[in-house]
Amino acid sequence: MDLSSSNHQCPLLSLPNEILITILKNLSTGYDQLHASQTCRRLYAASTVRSLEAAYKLDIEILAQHEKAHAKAYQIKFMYACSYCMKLRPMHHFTKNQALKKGPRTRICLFCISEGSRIIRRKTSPYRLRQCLVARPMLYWFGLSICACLLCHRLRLCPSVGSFGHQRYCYGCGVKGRHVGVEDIVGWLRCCGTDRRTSLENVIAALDYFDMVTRMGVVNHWPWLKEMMTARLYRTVDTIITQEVQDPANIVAVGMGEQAEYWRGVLMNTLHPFFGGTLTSLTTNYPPEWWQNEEVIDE
Amino acid sequence: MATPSTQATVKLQSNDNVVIEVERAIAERSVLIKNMLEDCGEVTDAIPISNVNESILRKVIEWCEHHKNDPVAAENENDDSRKKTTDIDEWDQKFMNVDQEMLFEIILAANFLDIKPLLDTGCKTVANMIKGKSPEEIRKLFNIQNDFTPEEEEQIRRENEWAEDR
Repeated sequence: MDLSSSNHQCPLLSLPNEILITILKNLSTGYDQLHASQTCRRLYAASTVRSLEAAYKLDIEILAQHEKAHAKAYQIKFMYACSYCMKLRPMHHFTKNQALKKGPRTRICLFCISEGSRIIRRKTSPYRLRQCLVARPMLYWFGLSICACLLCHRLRLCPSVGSFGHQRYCYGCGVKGRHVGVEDIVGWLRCCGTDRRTSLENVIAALDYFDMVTRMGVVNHWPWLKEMMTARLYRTVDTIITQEVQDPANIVAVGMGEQAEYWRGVLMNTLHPFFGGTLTSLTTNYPPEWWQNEEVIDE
Repeated sequence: MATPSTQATVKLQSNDNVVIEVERAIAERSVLIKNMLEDCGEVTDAIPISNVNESILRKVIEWCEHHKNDPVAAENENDDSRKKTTDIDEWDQKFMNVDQEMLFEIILAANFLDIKPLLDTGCKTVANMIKGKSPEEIRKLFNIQNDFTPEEEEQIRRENEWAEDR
């Protein structure tokens, strides 16, 4: 075992890996598989020692088996939004009955169910409920399908996981060895703004790339790329939301204004950690003519 | 191969040289000892249990005595059947109600002596201790030093955000 010196005294970490794994396997019981998986992740988060990598791997194994079983049983591949907490969750976060229902309808995730009536008292204000009801069809309206990467558990749009098919590992994890280059990112960015649906897909997929290349350190080699991505993504999101989604011609459902605000919030919250700053400063620094100049991409 | 023995007791010697005489049926809860006795036949000398000290050996024997009439799990029993529950019977819960050092030593002894039900009970006990705790609580409970850099910890925290969902 490769124990860090500071953890030599820890009796748990001194156990051989196979015993540690037995302990963690004992955590997987029925719906508790989910909690077991969480616990493994938490345990993994407790120390860097290698023995806990076993926990991390086991966690992936548990989750993969769990998802595989559900996918086989119900042929449902995508995620649903919980009607109470509004979080997008993989299908196994719902009861079997709710996972079997297709299309937009009320689904309550196991986390919310486990909180029982408390959550109904605390969270279901009429406004909250309405927000839930208008948010869900948005997924279908945009034609987005989202799955969780089996390795990093992040929610990814299908374009991000599609190339790996049923294995559903995202590019970021690169389990299958795909290395995304600058040209891939630029390609995604060039697609932004062509139409409403592909815009949003491409923005989010580009965000995945951005997140991934940031972690890979690619942007450190090409600072201009980071700057360009930052500005262009920010602007594209703003354009989509203010000019397209809020355009009366595009209103397809009652409560569209709230939807737009919801998506603005979602996307801006997603973008903020990457970009910081404000939209105003970005649009000032990058005037309209800058956006027309595709050459900047190839410099 | 040696002929089957009718020996009623066997002697076990802990690593601190204490010899404990125990009924053969009880000692044979350990697959390691059982195989050893089957291979060697009549054993008059004490069997050295090199990885286990007296106090742990006595605890293990106590467990074996209590469970001597339990059915022995089939060899081909799927491992999955053993991991389906974290329920522990009342006697075992009391038995495992010891300090962490002894608990882990019992687990290691069970692993060394190949006593799967005892190993499972120990692992379930530890699993129950871990269940529902945050990384910080787990660190505190098991005296794990947080050896992440702040950057690494932040990254792990972000990657594990979903696990904090309640």
